[in-house]
This record gives sequence, C-alpha cells and structure tokens, in this order.
Amino acid sequence: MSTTWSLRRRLLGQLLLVFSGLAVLLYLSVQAVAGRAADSTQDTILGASAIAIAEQVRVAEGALTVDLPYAALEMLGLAGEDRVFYRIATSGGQLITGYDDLPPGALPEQEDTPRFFTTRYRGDTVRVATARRSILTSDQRESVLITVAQTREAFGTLTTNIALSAAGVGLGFLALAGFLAWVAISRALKPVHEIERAIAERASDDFSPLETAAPREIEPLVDAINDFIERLRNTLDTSQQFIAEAAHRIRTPLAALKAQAEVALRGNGQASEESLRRMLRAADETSQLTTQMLTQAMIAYRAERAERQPLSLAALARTAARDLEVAAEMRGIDFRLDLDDSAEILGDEIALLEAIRNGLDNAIKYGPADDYVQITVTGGKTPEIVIADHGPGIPRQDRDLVFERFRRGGSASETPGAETRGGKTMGSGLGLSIVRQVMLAHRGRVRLEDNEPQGLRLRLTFSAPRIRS
Amino acid sequence: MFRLAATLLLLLVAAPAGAVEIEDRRSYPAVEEVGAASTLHIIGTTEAEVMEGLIRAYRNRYQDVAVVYDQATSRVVYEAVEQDVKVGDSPYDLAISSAMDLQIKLVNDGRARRHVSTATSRLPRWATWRDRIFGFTREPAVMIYNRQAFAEIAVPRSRFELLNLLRRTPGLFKGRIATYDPNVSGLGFLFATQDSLQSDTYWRLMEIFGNLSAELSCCSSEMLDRVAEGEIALAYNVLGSYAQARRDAGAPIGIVLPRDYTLLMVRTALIPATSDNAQAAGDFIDFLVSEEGQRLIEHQAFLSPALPEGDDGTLIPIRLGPGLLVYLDALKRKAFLSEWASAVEERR
Repeated sequence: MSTTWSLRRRLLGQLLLVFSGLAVLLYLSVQAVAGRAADSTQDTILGASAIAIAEQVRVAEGALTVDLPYAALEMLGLAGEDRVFYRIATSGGQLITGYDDLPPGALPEQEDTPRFFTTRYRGDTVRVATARRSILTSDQRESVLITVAQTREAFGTLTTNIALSAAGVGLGFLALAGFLAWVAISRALKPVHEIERAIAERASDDFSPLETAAPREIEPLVDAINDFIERLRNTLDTSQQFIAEAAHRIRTPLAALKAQAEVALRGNGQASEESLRRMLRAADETSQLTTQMLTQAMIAYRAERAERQPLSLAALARTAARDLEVAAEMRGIDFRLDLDDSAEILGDEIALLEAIRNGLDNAIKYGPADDYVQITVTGGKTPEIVIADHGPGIPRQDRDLVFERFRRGGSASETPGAETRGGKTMGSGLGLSIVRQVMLAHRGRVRLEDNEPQGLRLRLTFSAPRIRS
Repeated sequence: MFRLAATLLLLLVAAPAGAVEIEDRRSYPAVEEVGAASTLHIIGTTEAEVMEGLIRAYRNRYQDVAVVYDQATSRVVYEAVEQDVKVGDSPYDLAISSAMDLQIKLVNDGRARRHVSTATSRLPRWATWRDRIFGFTREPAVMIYNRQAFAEIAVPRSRFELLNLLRRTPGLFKGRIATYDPNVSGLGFLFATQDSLQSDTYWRLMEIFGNLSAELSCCSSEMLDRVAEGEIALAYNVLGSYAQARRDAGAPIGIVLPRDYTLLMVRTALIPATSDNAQAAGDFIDFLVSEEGQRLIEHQAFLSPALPEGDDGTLIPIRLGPGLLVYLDALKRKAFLSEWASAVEERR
C-alpha cells in the first residue's frame, strides 16, 4: 500500500502558509506606514514647538533674548514621556540659551518651514526640528537658529503597537481563514464521501450506475466508476450466460450420446456399427463444442487483456487460410487471396487469427462445395478483411442474431447439434459470436453483407493503428 | 515641636559634607547585620525629622539595609545628582525633592535610572514621568491666616475674594501680608510660575501685594511662624502640609484651599543613574507609594499622600513633564523674575 496523504491537510497547510506570509507582510507594511505616520506626527509637534520658540526671539537692550513659551515644551510632553532638548543660538553658533552641545542642524531657508532630521544625542536617538528667525539687532540683521529635539520612545512604541495590532488582525484573519478553509475543504470533499458511502452500501449484485449529485470536478470520477461498473456487469453477464448455455449445450449431445448407447445396448449388438457411428459423431460434436467454447473463453480473455502489437493483416489472412487448407480441400473449396501487404493493425495475434479462422470456417461450411472463397485485405486508414462465399447467405433480418452465441444462420437454426445440409456441416453457433467479440475488443466493426450474385460477405473493419510512443 | 527641635538640631549639625552642603545627616544601621549589609544613601529636601518615621518603617521591612539620610536644599540635591557627588566612596542612591522642575531636568538629562514595579504602576499619570521619577505626596499651595486677625472679617475663599478684600480694606493689611520670594525659594518660584500660567489674577494679586508692601519670605515655616504670632494676617502660597501640621500642633491659624484652583506640589523621588544600590532605592520608592507608606506619610509625616487620588476639580497637580523645563531656562527665569519684580517690588 502506498503512503497516503491528506488532501485536507495539504490544502490547509498551503493556505495557512500563504496567509501567514500575508500576516508578516501586513505587519511589515503597517510598521513602515505607521513609522512614517509617527514621524510626521512628531515632526508636526516639533516643528510647531520650534516655530513657537522662534516667535519669542526678541532684542532687549541690544542683546538677543528669548522668552521661552511654556507651551513650546509642554506640548512635547503631551504625546508621551520623551526627553526634550532645545538650543537657541545665532547662525554664527553663539549660544543664546539651551543645551549648547545639541547638534544644531542646518539653518532652514524659510522662516515658516522647519527642517527635520534624526540623530543621536546623550545616548538616545532624537528627532530634531530646526527653525530660523531673522531679527534686526542694533546694527545688523541676525539669523537665529532654533533647534528642538525629542527622543522617540513614545512614537517608537506607538509604531510598534500599531504594527502589532495589524499583525494581530492578520493572525485573526489567519485563524478565520484556517477555519473557513477547513469548512470549505470539508464541504468540497463531501461528494467524495458520498460516493464512498454509496459504493460501500451497495449490494454486491447491484450494478446500476451511481446516482450521486457530483460537482463537475468529480463527475469524471463518477463516470469512470460507472463505466467500470458497466464493464464489470458485462463481464459477469457474459460469464453467467456462458456457463448457463455451455451447461445446456453440453448436456444435449451428452444426452444424445447416452440415448445412442442405450439403443445400441437394446439392439443386442445388431445395429451396432450404425449406432457406434452415431455415437462417434455425437462425441465428436461434443468435443468440438467444448473446444470451441473454451477457445471462445480464451479468446474473449485475450481480446480484453492481451498486449496489442502491430500486425500485418495480410499475414494473418495467409496464416488462417493455411490453417484451414485441409478442411477446405475436403469440400473441394479453395481460397482466392487478394491481399494488400501494407495493411497493418494493432491487436492480439492469437485472438485475431481465431476470428479470421472462424470466418473462413463459416464460409467453408456454408458455401457450396467445389467452389472458392474470396479473401480480400485492403489497407489504408481503416484496414479491412472481407471473406466472401457463395452459399445461401443469411436473411437481412437474421443478421444480428447470428452474432449471438449458439445461433446459426437461417437454414441452420434448428436443434443444435443436428446435422444440416446433407448432414455434412456441423456448427456450434459460436463462430460468429467469437468474431464479434474479438472485433469489439479491438474496437473494430464486423458486418455481414450480401455477396453478388449470391452468398455472404463477412467484412471486418479495423480502426487505423495509432502509433504509440 | 518636632519641627522646632529638628530645626535646632539641624543648626547644630549643619556642616559641609564632601563637596555639597548638607544641613542634617542621620544614619540608621541595619536592624539585622546579615552578611554584607547594603547601605542606602538618600539625599533629600524633606526634613530629616519628617523622614525618620518613614525610614524606620522601611528598615522594619528590609532589615538588612542600613540607611543614611542627608538633608539639603533643592539646589544642592540637584547638584549632588548632576555632578555625581559621593558620600565617602558611595554615590547617592535616591534623591527626594520638592523642586519638581529640577527633578524633571535630572530625568530629562538622563541622570535618573528607570524603575518599574507593581507598586509604581499604581501611581496616577501626573505622579510619574518616564518611569524614572515618582511622586509620593501631593501638597497644596494654600492661604493661611491668623484667626484673630480675621475674627470680624469674612475669610476669602478664592484669589478673587482675596483681591477684593485687599482692595477694599488696604489699611488692614498694609505690611501684614506675605508670600514666597521666588528669587530665594525654589518652591516659591515654582508656585509663582505655575500661578502665572493658571490665570492673570495672579499678576493683579502680586501688584496689590506690592502696593501693600507684602513681606517676601524664604520659606513656608517662616511664614507660618509670623502668621501664628499675628505679625502677619495672611500669607499666600504656603505649603499646605506644613500648615496642617502647624495647625494640628495648636497654632492659631486657619487654612484656605483657594476655591478657584489649588496647585498641588508633588514631592518626588528618583534613583540617580550612578546609584550602586538601585535595588534598595527601588524598594524604598515602592515602600513610599505602598499603602503602608502612604498611610505613614499622612499620619506621621504630616504630608499629604499621593494616593488615593480624590479630586474635586479645583485641585491641580503640577504636571511632571518637559513643561517644567521652561522656567529653568536661564533667560526665561530672568525674564519671569524681572516681570515679577516690576509687579511687586517696584511698587513697595
């Protein structure tokens, strides 16, 4: 038994893999976006603070001074508990007030547009805003650079929290997706389980097709199963029919044989030669019948199972004709061959030979004595072999029947085993049914036609051999 | 009485210790000498006498810790941490101060160590900043008055009522009112600046104080003395916890928490970054804000506990945050004091 695997688990695994990838992606992208949003929020506050300070730069008694607005630093404390640093100096680097060692940054070009950068100060990463203020001192215009810095813990925490919430949402979706996938897969697999149940519950002699409502994707499976059931049924039918009829057919000649023997015994040994001849004929007939039935069983089996190989139809016809040469000569019949050697088919040699031999046998039996049987092989797309005799033929309405087992054509349709046509021709009625069975197994067709001016033509048509790699 | 005794003691032992000026030093050996006992060095503005009960209770809980408490001014406390002053070989492990602005500056400049515990997580938001500074009291800035002086006058309940009273009857109060001199007192400066942020009434009040030749004082205790003696009829912005203690001790004073708003000063503790006994310091902070510590603060130390946090809307805790840095700015301080001087002093 090969190792089994779970479709459900595989599907679920792949889905969850994809979704966890998406959750990670969500976390990273939200973190990036939230980080940018946090930056811009912090920049807004820092910029406002720097500008608020810039507005309070004054000249008092000829010196630059600044009245640090309370709100400028207080507002920085509203968003979190981050450390705050500031520095107010002239553009020349002369400190007015604040932390002298704070990296001052570049002087912005516009007074109302602060500039921002990130740097390290006193062991922490800080976001920095700079603003400028131009002011007229006693004798000249002076630029003042205002630098406000804040550590980033609160905004970093905010970013992480937002990203984590996003990841949480992602994981929630993951769980939900997993659950939904589980449900969906279970639902999708339901028809398969239904089929399984239908087959398990089925009685062993029930060969009706499955009638579960299967989705389109599963329909081929149902069709295949139904097809298989149909073939199984056919096989069993054939076997049963064969057994029943064989039993019946063999019982009759045996009964005749028994009757002959009894007559012989009662006749006190007088009519014994005639009786013995009859008994011999009955035994012959039984033997031939048995052989044919076994042959048919073998052929049927081969036709279904045996490996197909490329064969020359002409060669097959020649072999079959040689095999039956003696039987033909006994009736003064000879074969006329018209064979196209290019005709090639795919098939089982033994089954096909048997089929052709049966056809020829039929022609020998029912054709008039001292005549000829025409064997024609044609090639092309649909290779054919045609066996034509000049016998009585078979009426059109009976042609379907002769292909059934144990039936003989028109004139010979009396009690099986009895002699017909001057007591010379014996037939089991299996011949044409074997031909048909072999042809069906080879996906070919078999037809009976009138021969001109009289007689029967057996036409076996093959489909062109498909070259298999 | 305690306070008086402590003050006397303080004067006796006041001597420079190391590089900073220590007003009072008290040492408490470990209750139990187990192995290498650790010593917790505390520097604080709170009077040593007041701290004693708290320290003893702490030692009962942590019996293997010895404690040294140095009392100093808020400026000295700030410098001790800022400049990493040593006590012998050891740095200070805990700094306690009523100067919220200086404490905040220490935290902002990275001089304080982070401390997180279940006990500190109970504190309201205004009582901590950056997990490095912890408020363990909240003490109102109150008006105190001499009860005799107000025997026949309605006591003003708000700044506005005080303003009206002083305007209507200036004669009664000429030279008999007092407030902090923000030039001298750090706490007075904090109250003054926060008052100026709350409303313009403050400036009008200060103008009248100037007109009435108000006495400018260095400290709450001095104002309490003068009001109790009756020389001063009313003092504005006195530390409520001290006033409460003085009144409970029998001084003939009344206390008014202004109805318009009452500022709450938060006494804070922080662990200097250089501490080598942060564990014990953290334990001390946790003890201060614990239920037991808060109860002791209320009943023994005569301070107002930070918890529980009841608020009727007029009590405004001074926020621990970067805003406090503003008035520490040298230019800002100079500008404020000059504005204050023009309101008060030039009118005297």
